Amino acid sequence: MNAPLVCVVDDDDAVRLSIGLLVETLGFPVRCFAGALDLLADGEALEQAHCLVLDVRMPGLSGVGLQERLGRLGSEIPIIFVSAHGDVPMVARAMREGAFDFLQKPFNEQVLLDRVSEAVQVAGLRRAEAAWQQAFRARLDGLTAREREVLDGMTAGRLNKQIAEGLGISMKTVEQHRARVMEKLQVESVAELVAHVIRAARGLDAGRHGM
Amino acid sequence: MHDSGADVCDVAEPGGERQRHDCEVCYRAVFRAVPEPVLVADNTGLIVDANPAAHGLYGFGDTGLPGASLAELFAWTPRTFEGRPARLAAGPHRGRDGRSFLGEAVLSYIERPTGTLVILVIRNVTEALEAQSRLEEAEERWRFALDGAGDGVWDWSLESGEIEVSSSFRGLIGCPDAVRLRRGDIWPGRLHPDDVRSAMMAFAAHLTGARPITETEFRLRLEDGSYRWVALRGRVMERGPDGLPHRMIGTVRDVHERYLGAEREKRQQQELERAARLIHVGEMASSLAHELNQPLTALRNFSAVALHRLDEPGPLDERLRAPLTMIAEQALRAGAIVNQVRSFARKGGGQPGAVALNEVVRGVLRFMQFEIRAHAVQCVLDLEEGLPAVQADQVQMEQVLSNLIKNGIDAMDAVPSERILRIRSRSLPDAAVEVAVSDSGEGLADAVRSDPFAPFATTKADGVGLGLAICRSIVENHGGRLWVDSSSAAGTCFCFSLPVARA
Repeated sequence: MNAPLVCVVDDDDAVRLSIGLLVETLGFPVRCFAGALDLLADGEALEQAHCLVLDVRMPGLSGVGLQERLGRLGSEIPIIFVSAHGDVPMVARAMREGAFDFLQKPFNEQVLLDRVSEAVQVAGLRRAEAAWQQAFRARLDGLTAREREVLDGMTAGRLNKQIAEGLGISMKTVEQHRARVMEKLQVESVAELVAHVIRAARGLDAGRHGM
Repeated sequence: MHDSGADVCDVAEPGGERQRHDCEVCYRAVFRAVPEPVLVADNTGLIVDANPAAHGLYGFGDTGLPGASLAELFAWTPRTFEGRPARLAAGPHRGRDGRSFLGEAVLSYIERPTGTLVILVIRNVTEALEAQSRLEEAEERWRFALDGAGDGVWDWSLESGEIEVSSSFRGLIGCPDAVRLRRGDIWPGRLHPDDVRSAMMAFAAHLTGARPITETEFRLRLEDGSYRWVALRGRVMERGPDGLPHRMIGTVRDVHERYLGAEREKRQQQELERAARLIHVGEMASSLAHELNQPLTALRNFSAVALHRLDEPGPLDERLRAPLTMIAEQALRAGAIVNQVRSFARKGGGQPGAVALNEVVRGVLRFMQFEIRAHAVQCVLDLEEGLPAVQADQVQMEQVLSNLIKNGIDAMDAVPSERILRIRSRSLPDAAVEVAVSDSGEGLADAVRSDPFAPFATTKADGVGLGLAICRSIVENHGGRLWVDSSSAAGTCFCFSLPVARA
C-alpha cells in the first residue's frame, strides 16, 4: 500500500509551511499546495492522499469549493478545514458536506496533529475496505451461474435438499457446487460466507449513496 | 308707466295711436342698438325681423335675414318650438358666408291672433366653450403626464376635505381604487410619527402664504404596514374671494431608493473624510483579527515543530535553525500588522488636550445621524451643563463613543417597539467625568455576559469582538475606567469615567 500522504492547501506561505512541517513530525509524507486548483491538477497526490488540510478562504477556488469538486469525483479523502474567520455558515456547509473537522486559526497544534492522525487512520480503513470490496467482487464474478444460484440458496438459509429441489438437481451436485463456492470465495464456513456477502452488500449500498 | 311686462305697450288702449307710434319707434331703436343678435320668427321658422347684430353674426348683409328660414341658420325643425322652450342648448350655427360657430339661444314668445311670434336672442359661445375644454384638456394632460412620469397626483379640496388621488398614487400605497379618501387618511394618517411635524409645517408654511410651494419629504405608510420615503410637492390652485385656499394640487414621488442611496452616499463620503480618524474600531478590528491569525497560527506551528525536533537525535542547531528563524519572521510580521493598525487608528489624532466630552457626544451623533435614523433609533441626551473638560485625545474619545453608540444601535436591531438610546454625562465627586450610553435592547447575550470586554467575545455575525476590548484599552490608557452598569432592568448600559483635566 502507498504511504499515507497528507496534502496541505493554504495560500499563506508561512501557514502552509508551518502546517507542513508540523504534520511531518507525525512521520507522514506531506505535499503542500498554494492553491486548490494546484491540488486538483495533481492526480498522483489525490490518489495517495489520506488527509487534506484546507484553508477555507483562498483566492481562486476556495477550500469548500474544492471539497465539493472532490465530492463529485467520488473522493473519500477526509478533509480538515482551517480558517482565520469565525465563519459559521461556511463551517456548517463544510460539515454538512462531510468535512472531517473544522479548526479555527490559531489552533492548538496538538489538536490538528490528533485529527490528522485519526483522519489518516480512517482513510486507511476506507481504502482497505474499498480494496476488500473490489477483491471480493472479483471472486464473486468468478462463480458460474449455477454456483451463484447455489450461493443464493445458501445465504437464504436453505438446506441442501431444498436447494436441490428448487434447482431440479441432485443433492450430490449441490454439495459439489457448495464446495466450489467456498473454495472460490476463500471462506472456511457458511457463517463466514454469509458475513462476507453481507459486507459486500453494505459496500454496494454505501457506493449507491455516494459515500 | 304700465304694469304689463309681456309687451312694451298696450295696443288695445283706446286713443293710444300716438302712444303706439312712439312705442314702435322706441322698440325699433332698442332692437337695432342692442349688441346681442336678435331674431324674430314665426312658428313656421320664417324670420320676420332681425337686428343688425344678427345680420353681422350670420353674414346676411344689412337686410338679408327677414324672409330667410331659421333652418338655414341652425338645426331648426317645426318641432323646435313645441313646448315653448325658454332656451336652445348650444349647437352648431351656420352663417351665409360659410362661417360656423357654437350658438345658444334664449327664447320668448308673443301670442298674436295671426300666430305666435318667437324672439330669439342668440349668443355665440364658441370661445367660451373652447376655453373651457382647453382647460379641461390641459388639466387632463398634466395629470396624465405626471402620472406617467411615476409621480402620484393628488387633488385636495380643502372645503370638503376630500382628496382625489391618481391611480399611481394608489398603486404606491397599495390602496384599492374604490376607497374614497379624505385628507386625514393620508396626512397625517399615513405619515411616520417622526415625520408628521415637519410635513405639517411644510403645509402650513404654504397655506399661510409664507412659502410659494409645499415641498417636503416624509415616510408614507403603505397598506402592508411598511414605510417608504416619498417627496411631496404641492400648491394652492384655487382661492376663494376671501383669499382662503380652496383647492390644492400636487404630486408624490417615491424617493425611497434615492433616499437610502443618498443616505449611503452621504455616509460614505463622511466616512471617507473622517475614515482615518473616526473609524468604527470593531470594523477595523475584523480585518486586524484575520490578518493576525495567520502569523499566530504559523508561530504556534513552528514552535511545536521546534519542540518536537528537540527530542530528535542528531545536532540540535541543524534541526532547530529553520523553525526558529521562521518564528522570528512571523513575530515580526505580527508586529508589523499591529503597528499598521495603530498608526491607522491614530492618524489625524493630535496631542492629548482638554476635551469637552459633551461636544464629543454631539459631534459623534451628528456624524452618525443617518445610521441612527436608518435604524429608527430615538436619541435622548442628558448632558450635564458645565461639565468639566477631561485630559484626552479627542479622536480616541470619538472612537470610544462611536463604538459604544454603534453597539447600542445594533443591540436594538431586534427590538420591534421603541428603540431609545440614552447618553448621559455627569461630573463625579472625585474630579472625574462619567458618560453612560444605554440602549433599550434585550441586554447582553449569555455568550458575552460574563466578560463583554474579552477579546473575541462577540454575538455579531460579522464581528470579531475586539471593539469593546480596544475601547477599554483606550479609556484605561487615559487613566479611566470602562464598565457595564448592570443595575438597569432593561437593555445594556456602558459607562466610562475619565479624570478631569488639570487647569
